[in-house]
Amino acid sequence: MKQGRFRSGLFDALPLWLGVVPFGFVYAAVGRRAGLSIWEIQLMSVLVYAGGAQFTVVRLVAERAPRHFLIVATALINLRHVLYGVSLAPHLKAVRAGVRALAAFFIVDESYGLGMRAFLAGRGSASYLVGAGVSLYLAWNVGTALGILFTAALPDPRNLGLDLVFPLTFAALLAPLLRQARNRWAALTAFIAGLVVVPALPAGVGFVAATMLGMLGGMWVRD
Amino acid sequence: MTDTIVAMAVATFLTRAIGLWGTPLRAPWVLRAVGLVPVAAFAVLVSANLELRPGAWFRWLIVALGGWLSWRGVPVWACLGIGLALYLVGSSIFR
Repeated sequence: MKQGRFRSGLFDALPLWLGVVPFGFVYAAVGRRAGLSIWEIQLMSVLVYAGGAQFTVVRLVAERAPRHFLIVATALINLRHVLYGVSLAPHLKAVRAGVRALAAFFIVDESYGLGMRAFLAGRGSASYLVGAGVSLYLAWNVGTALGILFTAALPDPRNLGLDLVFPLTFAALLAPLLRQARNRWAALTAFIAGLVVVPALPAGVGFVAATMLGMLGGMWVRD
Repeated sequence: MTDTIVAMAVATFLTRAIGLWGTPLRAPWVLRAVGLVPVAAFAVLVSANLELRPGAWFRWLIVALGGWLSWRGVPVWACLGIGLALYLVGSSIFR
């Protein structure tokens, strides 16, 4: 792996710590309330590293759902990663299997966003993708650890507006891709589908359905 | 619970790895569809984090502003910083 590119990914993801750390914090606080032990809360952040799935699992634990439900829910919510992987695969086909596995472990929405934007701008690499992923991984785990230590100290990040970090980041990542008509139609269809379909379907399934509708919306347009 | 967490980690890793190790894609329409994944996914990640309610207009405005700044060539970290600063100031005024 190239150290310079790795470092670029690491630093480019730093502004996102603003949104990720507080949510790691909240996840830990909610996990404690659901009855998970400190060890289980941190272990989930270390091994699973998937915010949306972890929040859902904590809710299911609080509702005393059977254990296999937790595993199925995790897989469903993370289905979108399959699409991310498919779109990253052409850029990583020359990369060694070990590095590709490492890159796979660190794929989350935000690292995919930064990594894919770098690939589309012609400056992407596996090192950059892993660097961004490691940065966000550290943020998520630091947030979780802080949440375990100081459960009652921080107000809900939504009250501070920090949840805006996520749509704002993805809007900034999306905008430069809208110069082609096909991309504009795909984005418009996906945006509307995201508003309508995501809240109506089970977590994870709605995201995949809305993304695929967006892809269909762009497929028919000629540039 | 530790066993369940490990199984969740394996399930998550598989969702991340399957696409990367998937079958080679050659058909033109498949390549075109795959090329649209980031655009469609980013758009869903924006709209799924917004809400359709009257009081949310200021959040929509800030997100649109962030997109416009990025369109004009402003780096993502700066769009984020400007957007959050305006949101914090603005939401205290409009509250």
